[in-house]
This record gives sequence, C-alpha cells and structure tokens, in this order.
Amino acid sequence: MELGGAVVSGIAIGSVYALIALGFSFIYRTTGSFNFAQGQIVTFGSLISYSLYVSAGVPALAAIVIVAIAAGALGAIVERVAIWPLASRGDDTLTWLISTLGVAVLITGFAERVWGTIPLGVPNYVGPNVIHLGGQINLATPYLIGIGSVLVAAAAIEVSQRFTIWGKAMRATADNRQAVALAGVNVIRLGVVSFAIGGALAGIAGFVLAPITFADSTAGMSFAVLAFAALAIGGFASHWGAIFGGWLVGITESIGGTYAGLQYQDIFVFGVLIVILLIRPEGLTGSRNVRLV
Amino acid sequence: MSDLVIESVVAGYGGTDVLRGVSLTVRQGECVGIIGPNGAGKSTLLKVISGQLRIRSGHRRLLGKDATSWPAYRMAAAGVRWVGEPRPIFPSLTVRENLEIGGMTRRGVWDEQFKRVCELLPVLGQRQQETAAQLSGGQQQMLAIGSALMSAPSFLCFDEPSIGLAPSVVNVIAELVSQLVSEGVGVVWAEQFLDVVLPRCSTVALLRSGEVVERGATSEFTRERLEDAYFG
Amino acid sequence: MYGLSERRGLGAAVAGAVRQSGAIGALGIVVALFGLLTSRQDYLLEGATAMTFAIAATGLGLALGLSGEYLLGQIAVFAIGAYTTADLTANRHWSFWPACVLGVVAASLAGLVISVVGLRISRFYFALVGFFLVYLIPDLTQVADSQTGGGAGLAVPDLPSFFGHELRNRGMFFLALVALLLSLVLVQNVRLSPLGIQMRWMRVAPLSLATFGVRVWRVRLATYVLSSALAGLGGAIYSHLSGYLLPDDFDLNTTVLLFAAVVVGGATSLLGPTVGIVLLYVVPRLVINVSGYSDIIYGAVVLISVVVFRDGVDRFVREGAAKAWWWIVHRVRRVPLRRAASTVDERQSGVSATASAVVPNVDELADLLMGLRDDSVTRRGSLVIRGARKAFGGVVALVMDPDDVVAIEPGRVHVLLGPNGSGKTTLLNALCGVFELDSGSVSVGGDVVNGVSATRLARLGVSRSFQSPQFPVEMSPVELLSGSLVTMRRLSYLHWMSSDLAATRARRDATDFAARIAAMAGLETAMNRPCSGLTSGQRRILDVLLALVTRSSIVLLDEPAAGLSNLERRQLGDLIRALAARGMGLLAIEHDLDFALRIADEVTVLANGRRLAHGRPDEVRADPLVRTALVGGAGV
Repeated sequence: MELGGAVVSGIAIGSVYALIALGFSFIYRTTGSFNFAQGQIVTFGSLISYSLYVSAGVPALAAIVIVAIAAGALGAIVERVAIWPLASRGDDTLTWLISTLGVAVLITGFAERVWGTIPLGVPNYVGPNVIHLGGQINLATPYLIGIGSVLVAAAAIEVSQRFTIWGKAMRATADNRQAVALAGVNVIRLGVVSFAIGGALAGIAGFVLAPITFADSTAGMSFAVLAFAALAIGGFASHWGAIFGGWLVGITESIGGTYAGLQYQDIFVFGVLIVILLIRPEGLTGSRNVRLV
Repeated sequence: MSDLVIESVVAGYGGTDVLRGVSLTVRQGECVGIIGPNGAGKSTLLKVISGQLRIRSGHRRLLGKDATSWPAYRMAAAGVRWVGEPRPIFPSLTVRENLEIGGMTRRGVWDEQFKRVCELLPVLGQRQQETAAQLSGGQQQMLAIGSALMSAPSFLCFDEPSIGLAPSVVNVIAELVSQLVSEGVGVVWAEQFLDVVLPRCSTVALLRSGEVVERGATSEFTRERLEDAYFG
Repeated sequence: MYGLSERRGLGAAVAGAVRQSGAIGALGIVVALFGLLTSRQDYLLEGATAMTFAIAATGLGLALGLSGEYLLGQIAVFAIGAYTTADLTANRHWSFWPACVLGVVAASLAGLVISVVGLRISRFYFALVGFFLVYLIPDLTQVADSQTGGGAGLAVPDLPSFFGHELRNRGMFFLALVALLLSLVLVQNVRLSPLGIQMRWMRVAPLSLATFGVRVWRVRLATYVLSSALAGLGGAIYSHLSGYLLPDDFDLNTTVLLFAAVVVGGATSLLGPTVGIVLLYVVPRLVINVSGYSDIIYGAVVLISVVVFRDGVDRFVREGAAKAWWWIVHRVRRVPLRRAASTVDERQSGVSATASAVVPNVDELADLLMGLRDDSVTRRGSLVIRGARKAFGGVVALVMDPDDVVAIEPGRVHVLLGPNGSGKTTLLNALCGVFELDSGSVSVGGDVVNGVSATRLARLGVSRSFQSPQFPVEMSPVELLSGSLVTMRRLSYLHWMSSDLAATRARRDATDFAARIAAMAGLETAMNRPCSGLTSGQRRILDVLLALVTRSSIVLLDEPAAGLSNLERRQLGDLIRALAARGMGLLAIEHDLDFALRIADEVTVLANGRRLAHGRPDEVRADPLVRTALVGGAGV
C-alpha cells in the first residue's frame, strides 16, 4: 500500500503545484509573459499566513482572504515594477524574463530579512490532521484543501474566460495585445489585473502549503520550477493541462522520494519532464509548439 | 466641431522625425486619401491620427476636444479606429468573439452593429464560429474592418488595406468605404497606388518626405500631375 | 572570386581587424593596470571571480544575444566545468592545466547533450529545462557527493602553478584576464564568421536560414557547444579561486547575473556581457557594500538596470545622444522646425532617395549575380510540382488535379496569380520543401524530391524570398549579403576561428561584392545602416537580393513587387527578365496583373487551391474565367 499512499499524497501536493501553475498560465495567456517571481509570491503567502494565523491569531478563513489580497497586491506590484516599465517595447520576452527574476531575488532578500531563513511551522487550519481513506492510505487535511481549491480556481477561470467579455478580452490580449488596445481597451490595466489574479492564486497556494512544508523564505525557486514543469508537462492549451501536469509532477516526486530517496525526487521529475518534452514538445494536452526547423 | 484635426505635428522614431509639421483635417462624412511614395510617412501619419505614436510637437483634436496626449486605446474608445498591418485581429478567437472584442467599448449597440456587419460583410456572418486563423488573408482583412465597425466609430483609418489583397477584395473594401462615408463616418485612407484611392475620395493629401506637399479636392488631381509629384 | 582582385583591400582588412580588436586590447590594459596596482587581496579575488563570470556571460552572449536561445542553464554548465576541474585536482591530484582542459571538455559535452533537447523544444520550455538544471545542482552534488563533497562543499587546496610559480590571488587574476581576453577574441572571430551571421539569422528567421541551404541544427549545436565551452572555462578557473566549492555558489542569483549581464550590456554586442558583469557584479560588490541587504540590493540593481538599459548600455548611450541632439536642435537653438528636420534628414537620409534610385545597368547586375553560379548548377533542370494536394488541420489549401503541373524551367519566368487564399504561398512552400505534400510530387531535373527538407532543396539549387521578410535588424544589408556570399567559400572553421588571412580576405571580397550589388539594386543610401531603418520597399529588395545571392538555378519569389514604387517595380521586372535571359528559372507570385503579365513567359492562375488556368500571358489575359477570378466575385 506504500505505492497507493505515495500516489495519493502525490496528487495532493501536485494540486498545490497545479494551483501555482494556474497562476503562471493565467498570466501567460493574458499578457504573453511569465511572472518568474511567482514562486516567491507563494513563499510570501506562506509567511504572511504564519504571521496572521500563528503570530496574530487571525481565524483561518479571514487569513486566507487577507493572504489572497496581499499576494494579489504583490502580483500587481510585480507588474508595475518589472513589466509595465518595459511594456513600451512590445513583444520582447527576454527583458521581462530577467526583470521578473530580478524581482524574485528582491522578494527573497526581503523575506529573509523580515522572517529569517529558518522554516516556520504552521499548524493545521481545520479539523482532524489526517483523514483515513481506507486501507493504510491517509490524507492530511491541508492537502484536501489544496485539491479543493485548485479545482474551484480552474473552474472559475474557465467559465469566466469562455463566457464573460472581460475573460474573452484576456484571451484576446494573449493573441494580439496591440489589437486589444486598438479596440479601445486599456491593456495595461488588464495586465495589472491578470498579474493580481495570478498573484492571488500563488498566495492561496502559499496559504495551503504552509502547514505542509512550513513557511520557508528560501523555497521560492523550487515552487516556481516545479509549477513551471507542471505547466510544461500538461501543456498551455487549457487550465486542465496545468492541473494534470501538477498531479503528474506531484506523483513522480512522491514515488521517487519514497523509493529512491529525497535527493532523487526532483531528478526524477526532471527526467519525466525531459522525456515528455522530447516526445510531445507541446505538453500532454497542448497544441503544437514544436520547432519547425 | 465634428472634425478630427492634426495640427503641425512632428513625430517619428528614435532620433528621426518622420513627420515634420503635418496638418490635416478630417470631417465626418468625408473620405480623405493620403497618398505618396514609399517611405513618405503615410503609415506614420495614420499612427499619429489613431494615437499609436506619440506626438513630439503639435496638436491633435477630436470633436473639439484636445486629444494630443491620448494613447491608442483612448482614441479608439472615443471612436477613432485603425485598420492596417499587422492586422488587428485575434487568430485563436472565433470570428464572433473577434467582433465582440471589437465592440467592447460600446456594448449598448452590440446587437444592432453585429447585424449590420453581417449584412455588409456576409462572409463574417457565415463563418462566425470558425477561428480567425482559418480565414484567408482577404477575409481576415474583412474581419479587421468588421471589428472596427462594431463600435460604430466616427472615424476610420485605413493603412494600405489593399496591400497583398486581390482586386476583388479591394473592390469590396472600396464599396464599403463609400457606404460608410455616405452614413457620416470620416475615413482616412492611405495608399501608395493612385488608382485605388483616387476614385473613392473627396479630398486628397499628397505626402512627401514627411510633409503634405499638396492638398485639395480629388478632381483637381490629375493622374499626370500626381505622377509628377511622386517622382519630382 | 567574384571577379574582383584578390589583393585589393587586404591592408585595409588587416587594419580593420586591428581596429576591432582595439576595444578588447583597451579592456585588457585597463584591467591589467588595475591588477598590477591594487594591493587589496579581496579586490583581486572579486575581480578574478567577476572575470570568470564574464567569460561565461560572453559565451551566453553568443547563444542568447546572437542566436536568441534561452540557455538559462548556463550556470549549471559553469558548475560542471568547476566541479570536473576541482574533482580532478582535489580528489585525483591532477595538475590544474589538464584538469582545466577536461573541465572545458566536460562542459562542452554537457552543451552537446543540452543541444539535443534544444533541437526539439522551443524557447520557454528550453528556458525551463535550464532553470530546472540549476535548481537540481544541490541534489546532483548530493548524489555525486564522493566527487563533489555534497552539500558540505569541496575543498580545493592546491593552487595552479605556472612554470613552477604558484598562482596566488594576483596570478589567478591575470589567469582569468588572459582567459577572458582569449574568449573575447574567439567570440569576435565567430561573430564575423559565417557561423556568427547564421546565428543571427537563426534568432529572427530560422526558416530563411534553412532555405539558404544551411543546416539549422548544426548552427544550433555549434552555438550550444561554443557557449558551453566558455562557461566550462569560466567554471574551471572559478573552482580554484576561493579554495572551496559549494553548491550554493551556483544558485538563482548567479543564473540571473549571467542572463541579466547579457541583456543589460547589450545582447548583440561583443563586450556587452562583460560590461553587464561590471555593472551587476563588480559595482554592487565593491562600490555598494552593505552587508545583510545584499540580496535586496542585488535584486534592485538587476531590476533597475534592466528597466533603464533594456536595449543594452550601448543602445542607451547612442539613443540618449540622438535624443539630446533632437532636443538641442528643436529647443535650444530655436531653429525653425522645418529646417531642423531637414538636418536630421540629411543624416538619416534614404527615405525619399529610394523612389528615384536608379539601377544603372540591369544587365551588369544580372551578370554579377549569375557569375556566382557555375555551370553544373544551371544545368540541373526544371523544378516541377505535379498534382499537389495539401490540407492544414482540415482546411484545404491545395487541391490540384493529379495531372496538373506547375514547372519552373531554366531561362523562363513563371508567374503565379490568384486571389487571396487561393493557395499560392502554399504551393511555393511545397516547392521549396517547407512542408511535405499530402499527395502529388515535387521533382528537380526529373528526380523526385518529395519530403526532402528545405535545406537539401536549397543545396539542389532552389532558393526563395519571403512574403514578409525578416532580418537580424542590427545588421546592415551589406553585412547580410556578404554573410551569404562568404558562406559559399567553404573555408574551414579553423580559418574563421583564428580569423587568419584567408578568412580576412574572403570577408573583404564578399563585402566589396555585396556593396556593389546593393548599390546597383538601389540600396546605396541604406546599405551600411542597420536593417531596422529600411523602408518596406528596401526590405523587399534586400530579401529578393538575398534569394539571388546564392548558387541557385531556380529562384522562387513571394510577392517580390509588393510595396515597391512604380519605378522600382519596373526595374525589378527588368532584372527578372535579365536573369531569365541568362538561364535562371524564376517563379513569382504577383497581384499586380500588368506587372505580372509583363514579366511572365508562362502564367498559372490558382483559385481555391485549384489550377484555374495556365498558358502564355496573352492567353491568360483573354480568359474570361481568369478575369472574374482576379477582378471581381470569386474568392471572397
């Protein structure tokens, strides 16, 4: 039953990666850019959760709202300082890749300064610590919250992008930014909004993660890398790709960690990523993205 | 007051001024042809009119209001729409969604305008569920124009809409322009080739090296005179 | 070669090479003086560290700046070079020099492996793979802890010795300096070589590169290996600087450092990456030294630099100067606008001049262009496509009948007409191997070449121009044309890397020849300026020239006359006729009926993917079916 347990906890942790990946893909599909500071926003979310829930004793439900707002604001700030000053350049992906990475370094430095580098423990938010799923498979409640929140988030995004005019405008922006402006829409404001939504998703992921991995100011890069891998594996075509990819990364990590040792778990993920990209460069659910020549 | 006015505008890229003090007035219900050889600044002028390029000195006024510093989205929202290269369409969205975005700023007139666009450009109505990427080049140009019409604009800028298109498509566009003008839309149409523009416009401005060198009623411009002007 | 004298310009070429090396020399002298004069050991150590990063960044400049490849894993390759060298000296007691060589080899091999992945996946995915590699460094050192010391680190006690002298801080400083200067010279030579120009093409238009007959995968592979070798060299020296190697040395911060250095310093410039390292590493470390806030300051410096110098320091300075000039002219001197503008125009001319540019002698230009070709190529025969059918995801683009033939024969001009969406460009793409037909056949001189790549077809003598041409905008028309010419000389890479006399001479001749062709084609006012300033007509002419400056016997032109003035059209038509008279076979897609019928020997009209008509221009002109298809009704 060790395998079953590994798969279940893999899906659970993978859901958190998926939540972060959703933020990535949301921002990408709207603005055509990635926020490489997304991983640091996750840690920021965890650390704020610690301060609110543990230090200040704020109820969990209020804490998650405050975390989402704060992380959303941070996402918007990232857009303002790292994307907006470069927006006049049009379609140059390289510069904002660096500028968001610069912000990532900045947030890490700031978080280390405020919260220190020692991981901070956060107790479980609700109910019993563990739910028995039958046999020897157990699931920690925080994971359950993770699975639930990623499904809700994906459904909400999907519905809004299919059926609301602003959602459609966000898809249109990914296609042709200038044309959206030429239709009379303030694309800069649209970009800030999407970074804020992406940031809020990352913040919620941080909130969910805090009881699982502790609030660790130095862990930002690992979240970014693993969520990005989830997205690449799943494909950019739909939000379900991010979820599927997140689960696959989570399961690989958890099986690799269980059977080969912790230092191998991410090497396994890397191997899976390479194999999948070589076979299907567009990801498992994606449209074609392969090099022509 | 129902004018779009450009007053001694200087604009350009980097260290170069492409336009050097150009003035132009477009009234609603008239079609102004902008002609001139390659590199004369026709596209730049249309970018200035539609707010896509910053004005370095000079003024832009829309319906009596000072619009000199308005960015492109504000000009568009105020009723000045632009069609040119790269085409302002969304390849991965359906034709219908493209039109919806086109009319985003004026959702009140949506149903009415959609019906009208489908009448004027039937191909868009027929293929409304297909993605824009599936359309041919000419149809995509129709879609770009249809999207602009969705907001019931007061002014339309066409930057060489005929380039790369078959004559039959150009004819459709030209007829459409005539109709829009008769309904009170102001049109600015930039073209390099005289025979496309001349018959459709009431006024023509001839641009050379970033300046308007001649301007007047179309009837005053004989072909010979224009060719002289082109090749100096 | 090219009918120009071999001796001419050789002296000038050598002088040019010296001038180009001047900046590298000046850098060397300044840094060496600093190394000799400073007495602070920490400056020497930080300086040497900065230079090892600069070596890696210079390599990254090739991959990222020239080729546009997101090698985000450069610091992981740097680490491979460092750990290999350190393992050999610390654990196996090798001497530094062979260990260093092996470190570079190991890094190059890593580059080769990465390139296999890079051949398949594009930009962001590739960036992710690199990013992931950096993230894995601590795990990988754990796994190989007997070699790397794991998380605890690896002590590297032995100092390299040079003819019996132990290289201490100052010695290592100069070792790093020599390595940096050599790397810069090597990269400079690569940039000037055909490979360097191909790298730039690969960034903007890999498809164009393939249709020039260049194997794109080889360019990509060479890029990765060169870039990785330099990262390995930097890493090898780095490993012996502090005496201790930790996995944390190679983290997000150093990844960002290398990448940002290339962008901030100016992605396409030679010394840019080094300048970037000075700005992002040396300045924050040595000038602003506030302990405890280093991450915050470093992140802020990266962010601010990227925002301020987004196009690179060099562009920033140049554009700043241009803006200042504009401001002075308009505001300070209070010159009337009109006159001020014309002074600007005189410096940036070429706008109005094109309309009146005259090809002095179309025949002379045609002779020069045909002189590039030898007889074996021109006798290869016709390019024929038969019964072509092609659909893209259910949308049918071409549905010709099985016996319908479009043939491009030597010495004849074949024009393809048809309304938009009729399949003209699809047909042209199938003809030059951009994709394979669903059914039907393509043949060259009778040999069926179905499924043969664009590169192979280019080598069989088929070249093309593009509907919306793209160029590496930082290069001038002459540089692009001469790059294409120089590729034909087939000098070995050893010549190019060392930039010896043969290479210098080849480059010089090609430049002269390219300048002559460009001037004859009416590009003289723009030919030595970056392509970013070309008008659409000039871009079109340049693209047609690039298709002609090959050894191809068959040339396919996709709307060559779009956006040209009447005069330019007439001249292009004359040139096409003159080339056909000398044995070239041409296919041109056209919209302008008069122009098309004037240049054509043979016309094919397509409508909705079918062949509507075919014949002599006068026959086609008289065909009523064709009239309705092209002038009104059909196709919309």
